[in-house]
Formats: sequence, structure tokens, C-alpha cells
Amino acid sequence: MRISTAQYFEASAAKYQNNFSSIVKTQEQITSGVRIQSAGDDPVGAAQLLMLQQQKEMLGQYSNNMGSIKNSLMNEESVLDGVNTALQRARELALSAGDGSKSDADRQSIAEELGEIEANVLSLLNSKDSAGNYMFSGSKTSTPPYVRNNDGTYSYQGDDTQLNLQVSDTLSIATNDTGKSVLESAINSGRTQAVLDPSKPNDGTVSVSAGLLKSSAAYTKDFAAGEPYELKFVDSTHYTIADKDGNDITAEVSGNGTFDSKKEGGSTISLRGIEFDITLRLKAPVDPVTSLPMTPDAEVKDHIFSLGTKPDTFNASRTPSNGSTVQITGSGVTDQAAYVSGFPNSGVVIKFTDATNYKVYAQPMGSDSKSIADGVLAGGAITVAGVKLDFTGAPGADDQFVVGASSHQTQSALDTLSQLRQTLETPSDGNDLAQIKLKDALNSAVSNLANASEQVLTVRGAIGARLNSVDIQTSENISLGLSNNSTQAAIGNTDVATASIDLAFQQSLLQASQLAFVKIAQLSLFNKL
Amino acid sequence: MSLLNIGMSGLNASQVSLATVGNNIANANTAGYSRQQTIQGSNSSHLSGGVFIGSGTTLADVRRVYNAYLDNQLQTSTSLNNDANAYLDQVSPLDKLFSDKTTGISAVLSSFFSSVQTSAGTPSDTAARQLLLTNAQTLSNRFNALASQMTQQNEGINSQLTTLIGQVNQLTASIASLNQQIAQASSSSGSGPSNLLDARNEAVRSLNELVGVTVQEQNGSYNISLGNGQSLVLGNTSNTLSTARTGIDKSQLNIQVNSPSSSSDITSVVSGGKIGGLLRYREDVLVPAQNDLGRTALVMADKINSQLGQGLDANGEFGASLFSNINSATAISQRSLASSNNSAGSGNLNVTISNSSALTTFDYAVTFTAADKYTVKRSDGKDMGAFDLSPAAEIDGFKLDLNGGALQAGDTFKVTPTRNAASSITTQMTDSNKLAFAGPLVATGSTSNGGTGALTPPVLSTPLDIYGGADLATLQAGIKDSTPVTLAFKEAAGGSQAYEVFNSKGQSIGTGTIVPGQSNDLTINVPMLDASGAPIPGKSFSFNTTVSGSPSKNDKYEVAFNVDGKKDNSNANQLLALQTKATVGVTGGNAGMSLTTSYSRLVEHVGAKASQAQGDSTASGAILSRAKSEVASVSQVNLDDEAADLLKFQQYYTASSQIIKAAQETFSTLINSL
Repeated sequence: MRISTAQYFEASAAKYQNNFSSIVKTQEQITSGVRIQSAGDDPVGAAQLLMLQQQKEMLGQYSNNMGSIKNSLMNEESVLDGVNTALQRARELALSAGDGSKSDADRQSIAEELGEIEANVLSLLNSKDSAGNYMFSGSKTSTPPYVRNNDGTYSYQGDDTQLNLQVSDTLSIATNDTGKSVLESAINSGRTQAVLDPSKPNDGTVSVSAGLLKSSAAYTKDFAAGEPYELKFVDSTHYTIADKDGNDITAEVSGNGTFDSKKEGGSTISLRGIEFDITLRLKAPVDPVTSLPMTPDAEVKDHIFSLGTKPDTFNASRTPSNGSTVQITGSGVTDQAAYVSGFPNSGVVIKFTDATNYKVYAQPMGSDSKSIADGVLAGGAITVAGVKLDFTGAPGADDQFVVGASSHQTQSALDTLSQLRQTLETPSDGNDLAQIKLKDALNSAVSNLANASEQVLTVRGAIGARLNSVDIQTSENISLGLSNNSTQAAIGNTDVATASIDLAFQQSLLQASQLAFVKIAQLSLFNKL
Repeated sequence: MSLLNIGMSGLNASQVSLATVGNNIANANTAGYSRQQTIQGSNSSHLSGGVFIGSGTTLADVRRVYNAYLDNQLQTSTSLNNDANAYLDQVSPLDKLFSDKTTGISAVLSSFFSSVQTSAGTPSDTAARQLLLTNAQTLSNRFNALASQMTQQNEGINSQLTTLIGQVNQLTASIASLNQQIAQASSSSGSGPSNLLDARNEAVRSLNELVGVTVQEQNGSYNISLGNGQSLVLGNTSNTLSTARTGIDKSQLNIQVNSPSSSSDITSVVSGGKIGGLLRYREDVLVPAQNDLGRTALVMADKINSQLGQGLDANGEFGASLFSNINSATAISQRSLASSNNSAGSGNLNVTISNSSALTTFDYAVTFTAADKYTVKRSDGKDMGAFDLSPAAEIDGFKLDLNGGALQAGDTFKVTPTRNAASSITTQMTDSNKLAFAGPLVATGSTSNGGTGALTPPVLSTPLDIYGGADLATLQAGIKDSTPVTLAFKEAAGGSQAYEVFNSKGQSIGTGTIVPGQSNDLTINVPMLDASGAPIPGKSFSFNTTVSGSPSKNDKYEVAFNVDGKKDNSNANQLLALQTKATVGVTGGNAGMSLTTSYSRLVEHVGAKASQAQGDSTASGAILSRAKSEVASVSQVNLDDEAADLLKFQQYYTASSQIIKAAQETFSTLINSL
């Protein structure tokens, strides 16, 4: 083929350009380590890289999340450890207070130590994290989870919300536990009562303990269905029990209606998950007042006790700024259905607009709260959502009263501690009735403190399980991250070996073409003329 | 005598040949120059004494060495190669822009969601909230920046078109004038003058660099026409091209051809050359990329705003929008373009996005068949059907209605639902406390509950419509005023357990049953109350929750407005789910894709175009260089050839001189012998 001179130079220049640009591109890939410089180099690979990059960043974020979950769970764990230690100490104290040789003074000093423990547990539960948020109030991080009411009870003000953080595409783990799950859900062993029929004087001759919950399931399933029960003593070794419909269920109780107050464990009635203790303080054989002879059987006979669940109680308090000095003195559920449907969990605020008219608001009351009911004070009492409240007089306008409800299904350790402390502070030396009350209170306190410890341990177990699953997820995320890196490298990074061989090859091509050009360009017939 | 003549004829011929060789050497580097050759013929012979005796040589012609077929190939491949290169020059920067980590969307999108993660971890932390806000600003700015790059590229194409069209007009004018000169020169001398022919060929080649044309030779004149037969040069007259905003989209320059009597739009039929490449790029890459990026921006703004609207902010109020409203009055009025031929008094169309997930990246041609009826055709050719203005029908996620005067049959509009979204997205929130991370409702069990029941955080059954206006405000107030709602459980019996729902007034608003010990999904409908507690007739909302465990008799759960759930992150977790949730292009049976996938698809799409353009450019470059070398091989000057010719003609000249010398010597010999 005929080659024109200009064409030869032009073609040489163009080919040289091509070779040079590919050698520069190879050099770029080697120096940057990146094979895909722009999506045009490998569109599918570039899109995959973007997705892989997103996955990598998400993995990084998950690992941050796991760090903060670990951090917050460890914090919580150490607080709960403190709570548990305190509860154990309280339990030891309660047990020691039950020792018959302890005097009022001893119990007073135990009560003081319990007071310290109470304060300690309260402050532990109201702990704040590094950001200044309350740890145990759920999502209401600016509200202290526990406050002490006027009557010595405690109210939980947080909610049930847990903060979940994502630790993988599909798994999220809670970073906190609420006061509700730590303390509030501890079952109350002292939820029942035994009330003596007024036909006999309450002089302690025959007493039946308030009852201790032994089986929550049996209580819920059986006891609650048949209450109230009538426990009737036939003589000093026999009793009968009838349920609310009058059916005789004595045979359900082991011993079938016999008891022996002198034998250890012989005077326990184990009724449908609740244990009641019978204590006899007999005056026989001679009545100390009338000096007439009497038999134990006659003395015990016809004592009747009503066994059942304690009714819901209400803590009512007047607001200190009230104009009048009126107090709420009595309270009780009069309409169970209205109470269940209408009484707010958090309690109510009753606000009088004048001496007789009032409005009811759900707690907490804010400036834009709406009243849930209103009514008129009649006969010194009002009924709010099925709850009757007795007032000592006529309130003034703008007087406010706060009423909270408490059932006895669960009891927080704080309430247990507070009740125990109050019981121990009450003198009981030489007072049979007070001694019986003390014994009841100690029994239920010991049991409830055990329940509370168990609840705390359950939560700690859950924390451990979560930490464990964080660890498992960490290693899974690490291996995901490694495979992500290697996939990214395989798609996007330069294969240095191949690229170096390419470079060497392109280099030798370029050198050869330079050499050839110099030689051939020198050839011209004009040189020979 | 005759010998002298013969010698002289040779001398003349060799002089012309030498001059031609000289001319060839001198023009060895002239663009479009075709090498020339002298053609000689022998003179007539005389009959003398019964034999024919030659009488020397004559110069028949100085001929261009030219092959029309090869030249035609060169013209075509020039047009194709310039088309491919112009396309490549445009698509490469866009490809780099999209795929670069520092300029693309994906990195900032990831950091935005990372800051959502951080906030989800510490919802009450104002620093984390502020970081999220800053990252949102970076994200919307990045969308704006990419969109503005594309707008600038469109402007760049406009200005290039104007310049190129000017050059086309110069070239067509000069071809017409060359046609005339060549015709005049040819009529006087027979074959055309080489330099003019070369100049005309070179002009046509230059024209092909700008736009693809075809040449028809008629009586020595070149008639030049565009691909579809639109004549640019006819004999010695030329039609000019011009640019004008005659299309329905006024941001784009169109090309029209002006004949003395009329002008017509030829944008759609121009192909080849730089102009063809630019138009092809605009049609093929730029507009789809604008639509695609706009769709991602639109879906992102819509989904994030909507999700934020479902939750409660740090002040316990329903969340505000982070990004600008996609259905603002300005936005909906800018999504349609009215044809300039529409009836007088007709306005534009309002295009409201009703379902951002169903949006496509296409444009839509809307033609009115009556004042209130129209048909829609999508830019991929799919016929969307016929619709009525009222009630507005949803077409691929958007709805149309009038924003100006009444329309008439025949009015047409171009609807571009996503085109401007990437440039108009802004971060409008300035107070990070208004970011809604908490769920609107919270379920709390009563502390006196004895059972093991638990409720999952309640979620509204129907998400709040953040574009709902007055309805939204009513619903928001209703949710606030109608809560708390109490679920009270009754005794379990026969494997199921009944519950009753009470409103904040203690009035029963519903009952139901669960199976204790299982997970029970409940939907609770709540008739709405107003601020004073009076029922609002006919209005209600409902929420879903799952009850697990076994509640005891009389256990109560309160579902309340989450007014101070500062550390609740349930809405933030929902927001986070948008990172991987398929939200884009969920239409026509497609599962859709996440925001990042959507963007990476765009990167892949543009990358594929860039890669294809690179391939086109290389391939057409190879064809061009082959065509060039074939033309060059035939027509261009080879200096070695010329050196040999020079030597040959020098010797020819010397030899011819020797003939004259011989004639002279013969004559002298004759004289001297006398």
C-alpha cells in the first residue's frame, strides 16, 4: 500500500498517543490502587462498590451502637449490683429483727439502718447516665423514676419504653431497663389479709396471719376465684373453710381441717397458694377476768376469719398551697367496674373550682390537660371513677388533692423497705397484737425482699444475655466486614501483579515504537539525491 | 525543424511536470490537498514517405488523484467519529462527577443515615440532633450541586450549539460559493480547478465534523442535505440553520432550518457530527439523569418528611419536615410545560406527587381531547390511557389539575414530575429540637398489674398524611385529645381473654379478645374527642399494638400521647429503616429499590453510557483513521515518490534539451558542410 508522508507522521503520532495514554492509565491504577477510576471503567462494579460501601458504613455504625449498648448495660449492671447488695442486707436485717429476743430499741436501730438502705436504693434507682439522663425512667429521661409520697410510699413516674438500637440489619437490642421491670414487677407476697369477724373481741386469743403468697399461679387461678373465704374454728384443733358461695372446701387443705398449735408447722393453713398461720394465746384453764374455768375448745370455737385479697388502697394528699386545711381521710372502691375502666394508672388530681364543684384530671396535670370527669361534693364525700373519697370539710376554690392507687399484686422493694421500717419503728414490746402484726410484716417483708432480689437478678440475667448477644453479633459483624473488604478489594482494587505485567508490556511497546519511528523517519530519498 | 519542435514539446512537458512535482512537494502538508499528476499525450504524426512520423508530446492534463468512493467513506466516518467524541466529552465529566466519592450522593447519604443512627442511640442529645441537621444540609446541597452541574451542562450544550450552528452556516455558504466558482471555472476550461475542488471537499469534511450531511453531485455542483433530506446547499444557494427555544422545554435550544419562505424545527432529525453528538447526549443521558437524580431527591424528601411527621419531637409536638415540601405551590406549578401553541388564556398544569414511590424517570406528553379530558403518553412510548381532570386520576404517582384558565381540545403539555426536584430540594428545618424521634403513642402497664402481659409500642394504623392540611391538624389534635386510652383485661376463660377499651372519660369504646400466652395483634379504633372532651362525630383514628404474655384479671394498660418520651427512639428507628427500605420505583410490579440503590443505578447507568461512548469513540476513531489512511494513500503526497519523479523529470528535461542540442548540431553540421 502506498503511504503518504503526512499520513505516516500522523498515524505514528496517533498510535504513540494511544500507547502513551494506556500506559498512563495503568500507572494511575497502580499508584492509586484503584481499578475503577470512574463508573465508566466498570459500571456494574461501580454500582456494587457503592452498595458495599453503604454496607460497610452501616457495619461501622452498628459497631458504634454495640459500643454504646455495652457501655450503658455495664453501667446499669453495676447499679443493679448495688441495689441487690442493699436488698440482701435489708433481708438479713429483716430476719434478725424477727428474733424474739430483740427489743423495741434494737428494732429501732435496725429501722434506722433500713432507712439508710431505703435512701440508698432510691438514689441508685434515680441514677443518671453520663449525659445526665435518668437511667431507669424509660423514655422519660428528664423525670426521676421514683418519688417519695407524703405517706411514705413510692411512685414510679417513668414508662415501660426501652430504647432499642440496631446492631445488624435484622437485630435490635434494648440499651436500658426501666424501673418498672427492675422493681415494680416484683410480686407481692403479702397481698392477702385475714379479718376477724367482729362477733368475737380482737384480743389476740385466736389470730390468723395475713397470709403469704407461696404460689402466684395458684393464687391467680384458684384463690382469686373463690375469695373471700370463711375460716371458722370448730375447736382448738379443728376448723372449716368455705368459699364465697358457701361451699365447704376444707378438704382442699392438707390436714383436712385439723391443726395443732403446739407443733412446729402444725398450725399452717395452705389454701390455694396462700399460707396462713394460726396462733393461739389461750387463757385456759381459768378465765383471768371471771376466774371461771374454761376449756381451750370453748375459747377457740366460733372465731370466724374472712380470708381474702387486700382491697386497693389509695394515697391521698392535699397540695400544700391549698387555701383550706381540708384533708382526705377515707377512701375505697365502691364501683369496681368504673374503677377499672376510668381510674388512670398514674393517679388523679382533684381540683375544686369552688367549695363544692370539682374537676378531675389525670396525673401528671399540665397547663393544657383536659379534665376527665367533674362533679359535686355531697355529704362530705365525692366519688371519682368508682373511688369514694371522704373529706374532712368543705374545700376552698382552687384546692387540689392528689390521689394515687395501689393494688397489692406487686410491691416495689422501696415500698417494702419503707413499710418494714415503719413497722419496726412501731413499739410492740408487751403488746400481743402489735407482736402479731410485726411478725406478719416481717414475714411478708422477708418474702418480698426475696422476690425483689429475684426480680433484680432476672433483669441482670437479661442484661447478661443481651451483652452476650452483642458479643455474638460483634463477631458476626466483624466477619461480614472482612468479607465486605475483600469483595470491595476484588471489585475495585488494582490487581498489582497483572497491572505491573501490563505496565512492563506497554512500556516495551512504547519503547519499540519510539525506536522504530526514529529509524524510519530518517529514511527519505531526498537524503540520497 | 521538427526535431527542434519535438525537443521543445518535451522540454515544455518536463517543465510543467517539474512544476507539478514542486507543487506536490510544497503542499505535502496541506489539509485536503490531492496530489496532482501530469498526463501527456503524443502529438499527431505526419505521413511522410509512407510512414507516420511523430511530432513530439503535448500536456493533456494536470490531474488530481482523487477517489470519490473513498472520500465519501471519509466524510461519513468523520461525522460518526465527531458525534461519538462530542458525546464522550460530555458524558465523561458527568460520569466522574457521579462516581467520585467526594462529589457523588452516596457518601453524603450514608453520613446522613449514620447521624440518624447516632441520634437513635441518644435521641435527647442536642449535639447529635444538630449533627443530623448539618448532614441533612450537606445532603440537600449535594443534590443541588449535582443538579446545577447538569443545568450548567445543558447551558454549555446550548452555547456550543449556537457556536457550531454559526460554523455550519459559514461552511454551507462557502460551499455554495465554491460551487459557483467551480461551475464558472469549469465552463471555461473543461475540468474543474483542482484547488477549488480540494477546498470544497475539505469544506464538506469540516461540515461533517459539525453535523452529518449527505452530498449529491449534480453537474459538478455539490448539493448538501441533512439526514432527512433537508437541503442545506443547493447549487450556489445555501439555507441557514439557527437555534431557537421553539421546543416545549424552553431551557433547551432547538435547531431549525430557514429557507427563504419558511423555517422548520429539525432537532429530532439531526444526527452525526458534534451537533448530533450533543443532541444525542442531551436526549440520551442528561435529561434521564436529571429525572433520575430528581426522583431520588423527591422520594428521599417525601419519605423522610413523612416519617418525621409520624413522630413527636423533643418538645412533645408532632414532627416538622426536615426537607422542603415536595408539594409546595411553587413545586407543583413547575412540573409541567405548556406548548406555545396552546389555546389563548390556558395556563399550566399543577402536578401533585401523590405517591412518590410510584414515580418513574420518564416524561409524559399530555394531550387534551376535550376541556376536561386528556390522554397521556409516557416518553418510553407507553400509552397511559385517557383520563378526566376531575376526579384527578393518579398516573405513575402524580395527579394533574388546572392551575390557570380553562383548556381546549388540542392543548398539549409536557409533564416532568421529577426533573427539577434535585435542584429545588432544600433543608428547611433550622431547629434541631423539631426532629421527631419519639413515637406518638406509648403503652404503659399499670404498676398494679399482676399478670405477665406486655404491649408493644403502639403505632398508628394509617400513617399521618403530612400533606393533609386541615385534616392532618384535626387528626393530630384528635390523637392528643382522645388519649389516654385504657385497655382493661377481664378474666381468661375457655382459652381466650376478653378486654375492654375505655377512652379518657372512662367510656367504653370497644371490646375484643386475645389468646393469653400468644402474641395477639390488636387494632384499636378510637373515636376522636375534641379539646373539651366532646366527641367529634364521624372522626376516629386507630392504632396497632401486639399483646403478649398473660394479663391477669383487671390488669390495665394505658396508651397515652408520648408527650415527654425524650429518650424514645421508635420513630428514629423507623427513619433509619428508610436507608435500606425499597422506596424508589415501587411500581408496575417492581419491588423497587432503596435510595442508595437508586443512586447507584444512576451511577451505573451513566457509567454504562460513558463506557459505551468510550467504545464508540475508539471504534469510530479506528474507522475514521482507516478511511483517512485510504484517502491519504491515494491522494496525499509521498515525498519519496516526488523525489523519484523529480529525478525522472529532471532527466527528461535534460534529455529534451539534448534533443534541441542535437537539432542544433544537426543544423550546424549542415551549415558548416556547405
